Amino acid sequence: MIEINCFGETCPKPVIRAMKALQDSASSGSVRVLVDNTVAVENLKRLASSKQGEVAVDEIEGGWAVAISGVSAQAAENPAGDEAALAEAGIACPVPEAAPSKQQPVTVFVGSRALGQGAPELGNILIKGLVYAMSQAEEPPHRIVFFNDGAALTCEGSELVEDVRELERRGCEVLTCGTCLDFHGLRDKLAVGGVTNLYAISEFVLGPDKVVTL
Amino acid sequence: METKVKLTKLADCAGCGAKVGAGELASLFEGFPDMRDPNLLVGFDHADDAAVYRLRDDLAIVQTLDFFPPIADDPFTFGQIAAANALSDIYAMGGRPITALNIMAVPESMPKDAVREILRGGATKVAEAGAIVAGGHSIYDDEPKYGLSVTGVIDPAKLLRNDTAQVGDVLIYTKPVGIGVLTTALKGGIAGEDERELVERVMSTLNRAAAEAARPYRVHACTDITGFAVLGHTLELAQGSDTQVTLDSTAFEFLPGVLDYAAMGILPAGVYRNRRYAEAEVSIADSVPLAVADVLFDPQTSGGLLFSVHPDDADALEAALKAASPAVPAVQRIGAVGAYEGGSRVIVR
Repeated sequence: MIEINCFGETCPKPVIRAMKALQDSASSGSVRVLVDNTVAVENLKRLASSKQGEVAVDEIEGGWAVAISGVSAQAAENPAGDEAALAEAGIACPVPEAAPSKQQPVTVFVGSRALGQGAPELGNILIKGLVYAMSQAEEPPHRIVFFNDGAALTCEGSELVEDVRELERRGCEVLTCGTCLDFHGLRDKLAVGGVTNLYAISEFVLGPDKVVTL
Repeated sequence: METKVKLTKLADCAGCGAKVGAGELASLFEGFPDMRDPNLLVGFDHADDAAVYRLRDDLAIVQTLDFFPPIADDPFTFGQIAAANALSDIYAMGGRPITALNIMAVPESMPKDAVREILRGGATKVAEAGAIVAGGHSIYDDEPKYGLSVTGVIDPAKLLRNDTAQVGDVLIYTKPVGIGVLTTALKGGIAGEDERELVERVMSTLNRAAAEAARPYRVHACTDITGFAVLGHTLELAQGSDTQVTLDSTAFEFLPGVLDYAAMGILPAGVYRNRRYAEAEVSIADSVPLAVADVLFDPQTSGGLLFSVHPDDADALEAALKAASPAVPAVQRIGAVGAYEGGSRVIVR
């Protein structure tokens, strides 16, 4: 069963994520959603009932696991919504797995814990939002490489770990610069993806991918 | 990279859950020093919309303060909605707003033109209300917040309270219901631009035209429906007036898509808070779908006015309200006021 961790998320995000997961053919009509507030539990119960599915709620440490099952592919269909609004909310629908890639593959370099210049707090919010949006994008990047201060984002304690895991689950290669991990003493704290070095990175930069540095 | 401000991303829950629960509020004030004053016509001890203080026999001031985190992404629109919402309490008391003070919290990093647009949105609505912005106060805060403290004037004889409904009255409401659910769906990215335009128009519509249209009629009680939802505010009216209100769940006009979103669990936290507060005093017939009941507990940011009107004036008031607010055509006759015969204060059929 697909499991999504919605700890720290408030209305309407857990329901939307569960809806999208149920639409994914890989879910086979079942999804287990981890949440930390009763509002999300109640909302997920309503989602299950509107999709004619079964629901079971278990108490887990720090919250609840809400398992929705038996949702038919037809019932999993969601209102179309507005594509622009979906993209804006960072919740684009995943494309069917067989869909041919239309775009040039992209390698994203993340060199900082903040996106753009300005207030670091704002930069943190922005990078988190962007990584989440990429993890939900129709075409996730081919590869994402964390380096310099950005290396901390894939380590324990980072708020981005779950979203980066989602990227990885959707086929994106996740790598963090080993030199950078060592410099910050984070080598044993890496929580998601593999470690890379500058030889490999030089191949990424000179290779066929479009390279984007954040 | 472009960093256009998307205000609702900076708020935890789209304004929907920002109001402290009604039950929680009442308990906060227990044991406070006695604030009674013969000239304080409406104060703390009433769960009403604004405070009313008599200055002369024919003149009282109406004071209110309201603010919340962003409910719209666009700063100008957010400012308009916050101001329409703050001004609404004056209209709900039957008053006329004269001055307003801005209250604002913004992140230090927010672009200055966005801050200016919020204030400009507020000022536009205050001007539309025929009042003036006389000052204000702002602080830095990670989560933006904006609203106004509004002062109005009224002849105490024409005061519209929320605890003076009379048996036999008809209840008429002036805006479509489901604002909290629809803004939550927008935040979740599953509602479209047409719906955004509609709900923002509903929220930024002043209750001025409705209040003025109602003046010639025998309105016994009035309140605006906001954070405590249709059922929370109706309950206050029923309890305060020592009456029993029966609502017809099929008479409501819901915003498009809202019942579907509610059925799927796209509900703001405030729905559950309002339910917890009001549930013991509200009885909902089994025939009422859960989605409908949930939406009746949905917080209505900048909602409309609920009039309790003499039954003989109901048709005329309904027609006058329809003519007064063509931009938000949703005048609904939602229920009736009866004698309290024990049991729940509000019955939904």
